[in-house]
Amino acid sequence: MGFDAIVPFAAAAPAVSALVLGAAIALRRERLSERTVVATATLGLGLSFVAVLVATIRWMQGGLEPLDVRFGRWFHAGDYGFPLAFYFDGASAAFSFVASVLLLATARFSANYLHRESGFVRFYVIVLVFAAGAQLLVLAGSLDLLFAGWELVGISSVLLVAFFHERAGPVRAAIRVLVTYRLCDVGLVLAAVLLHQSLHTTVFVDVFRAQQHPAAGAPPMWIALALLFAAMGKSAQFPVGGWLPRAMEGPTASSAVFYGGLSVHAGVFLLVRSAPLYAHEPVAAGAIIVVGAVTAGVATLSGQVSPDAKSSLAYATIAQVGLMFVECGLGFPRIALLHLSTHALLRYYQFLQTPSVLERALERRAALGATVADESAARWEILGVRFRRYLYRLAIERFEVEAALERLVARPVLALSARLDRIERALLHSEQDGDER
Amino acid sequence: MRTAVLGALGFFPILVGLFVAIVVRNRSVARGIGIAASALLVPFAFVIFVSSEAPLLSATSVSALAVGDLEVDGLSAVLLPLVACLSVAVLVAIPRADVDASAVMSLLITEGATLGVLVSANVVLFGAFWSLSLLPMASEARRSGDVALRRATRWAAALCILPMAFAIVAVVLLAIVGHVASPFEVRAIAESAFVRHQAPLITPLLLVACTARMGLFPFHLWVPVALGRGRLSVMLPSVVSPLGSFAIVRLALGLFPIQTRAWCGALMVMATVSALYGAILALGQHHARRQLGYLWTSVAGFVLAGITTLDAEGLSGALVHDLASTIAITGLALTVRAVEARTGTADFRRLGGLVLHAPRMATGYFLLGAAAVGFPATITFVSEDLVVQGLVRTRPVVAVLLLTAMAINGVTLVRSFKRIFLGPPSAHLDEQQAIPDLLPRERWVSIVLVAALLAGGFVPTPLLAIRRQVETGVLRSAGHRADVAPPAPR
Repeated sequence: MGFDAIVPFAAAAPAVSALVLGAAIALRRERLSERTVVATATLGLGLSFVAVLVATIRWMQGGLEPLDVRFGRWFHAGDYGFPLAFYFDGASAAFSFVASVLLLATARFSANYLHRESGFVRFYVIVLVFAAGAQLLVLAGSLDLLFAGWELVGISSVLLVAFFHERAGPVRAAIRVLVTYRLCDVGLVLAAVLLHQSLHTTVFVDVFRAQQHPAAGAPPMWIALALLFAAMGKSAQFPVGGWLPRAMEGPTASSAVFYGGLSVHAGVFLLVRSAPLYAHEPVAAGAIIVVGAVTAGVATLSGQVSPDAKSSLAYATIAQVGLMFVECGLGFPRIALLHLSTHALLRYYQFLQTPSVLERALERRAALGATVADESAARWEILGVRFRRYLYRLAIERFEVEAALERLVARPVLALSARLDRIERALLHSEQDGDER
Repeated sequence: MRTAVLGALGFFPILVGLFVAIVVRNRSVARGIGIAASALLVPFAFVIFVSSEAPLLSATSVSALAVGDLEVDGLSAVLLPLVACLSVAVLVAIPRADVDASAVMSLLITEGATLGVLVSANVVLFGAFWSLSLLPMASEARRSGDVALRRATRWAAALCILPMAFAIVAVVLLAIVGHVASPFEVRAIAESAFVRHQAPLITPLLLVACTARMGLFPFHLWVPVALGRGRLSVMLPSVVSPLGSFAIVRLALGLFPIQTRAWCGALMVMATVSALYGAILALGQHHARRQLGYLWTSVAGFVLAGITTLDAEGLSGALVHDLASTIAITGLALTVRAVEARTGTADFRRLGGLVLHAPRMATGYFLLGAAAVGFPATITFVSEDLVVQGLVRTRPVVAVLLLTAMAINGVTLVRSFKRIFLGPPSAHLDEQQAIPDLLPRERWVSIVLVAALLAGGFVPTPLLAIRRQVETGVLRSAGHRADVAPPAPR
């Protein structure tokens, strides 16, 4: 195994830093100094970066053959064991490298940006948890382990959206993100269940090998559709993508690294990683293309009518991620990966710039002596006025997707809950005796 | 020596509890005695746990009682330190206002009765302790004058105690008629073909008692009321409820494995409905403790589903999940009680923004909530994975439904976290009102519970290994290997 064993350190190093900071907060009476927090976080993220570099060198030395690193089983019962398997290939190298760079930049940027902010330590702990999750997601050698990283990424996203917890807006937005994530995560678990049922493994190397023998009995179409559902949630695709513009309630640095850089691309990575599963499944590939194309169209229109820079960028991100879905569905996962890496870097920069976008615009106007015309407005002139108005109304109402989901899913479930509760209380007559305090 | 130790586990807390109730009037003294008595049992429980690997530790009867073999095996050995530690945790962390002499008596009797059930290898002793463990709840209901709580207690007694009592009386009578050498001993009865022949009548009674104790739909009505209204309700998830799953394995599967297996289909349906029903009801609740009651029903459904797979993965995962959920939900209940003691309410509509005053309390609640719903790096992630693996081969649809329930539970807990701790401060709370963060005693309990859940998550193998021998025995007796096709190698 040798140096290959360094692969999991990319995830372990930030996790250890997070644990150290968490333990220090729990056990110490005095507040940790900002300098200590930044140093601990930078150390963890730096070691993670080094681990990624070493793994990349090993991968290149091996003739670009994927590294299949296995550490036995985490736990086992009966015939089942949870494999501690890691997988390092081109996709892992690209995403891991981008993740390491962006996270290190975030740690540095936030030291000044969040200086004396009350949630300074909390921010760094959550970013470290996210870093551990993102690296685990990318380097996992099995769908089970990938799910662990996927969950860590999800919960850290939710916590950072609610970073300014004293206001109602960010907290509501965080719950929205959580509900979407949790429901779509069922798709990932379902895919794992189907893989276990059909192939008795979720280790990628074994799954891809089994895929070459269709007689193995795996139902790849259903597995791919389940993965697509999971990817839609994390990558904010239509019709479950309404959470992303709301998620901009968090600090700019976290918006940049989560929703410009990494988290929003996790779904694309999942599709890239599982490309062999749907490569010969036209229904699944078609579904991926349709979801991506519809999302790109809807997000472009919604972005055009967004009144603020962050929302506009969020919709632009969704549209680009939709195009990555199309690329995956068309059978070009490598192009999607290249698109992902470059897009992550660009968006990260753009998100970091948003707080000063107004200042920049004013500077430009002062320099030019005039306001630059909105070129995008001109493109719609070729459409009729009535159609343009119709599209505008749809776009401004976000195609009424969220209202429909609220009406068809959230309200019925809560109404059912309330009705069952009334029946239960009536059975024990607990309503009549006064409610709980 | 071992007899004395095992006997002390059950009887010592009960005797101390009675002593406190009769003699002690001062609240602080009563609390101190309660904590000391409970803490004294912890090292003994750990010694038994450590020494309980094969050969199994067993002891002959307590001579003071005519009936009574006491025994510890891998199944109960893990639960002994758990119950002992959680009892200490509850006594230490529960608000002082809740603890008077009668409360200490109730808590100690509940602890003693629970430990008694765990070490009883004698069905009569088992039944006696089983019934006694609900007595404190009944006495609190009578004292409080809360009509709903009294109804819930009656409901619990009717479903948990009566069927168990009938089943035990029937088993003993059959053992006597069938000339079983030791008609009270679980092992002797299990080996009697005559008793087994009558099992179709007795097994349903045992299963009703056990599932009612676990708080499963449709026998769950008492759980949310008891948790929502009872002053000492925090003992319910921590100490009382795990007995249900224990009794299914010890008595139902132990005495009548084949007949219990025949009921597994119905139990699986019950488990799935419970998991979803509890999850949906918990989602819409406005009261934190009542919500925990429904959450417990949902989790119990997950545990029962794992047990009824009668598969090594499922059974192993279910027993660990029961244990881990017990720790997590106890921690959540203690935190909610701490919130209630400071604000005077556990109603979400009257709470909000507490993280400003109590960040440690908020962090503890969040971590315990995450652990309760199978978050990675906690022991429940391991147990959920095992239960799902157990279900995948034979009942994949059930696996997906249970995971959906767990997803809803995750939303429920984060939503409750948001409603208690995040957002602008509640208009119902006085802005000037000082809301202290966790006190040192509460903080340490919270840290220990979270650390236990994380340690189990990172290193789950020892916990899984300790019960492997018992699980193998149970599965073999239930005919697991006989008619289940061997799985393909993984």
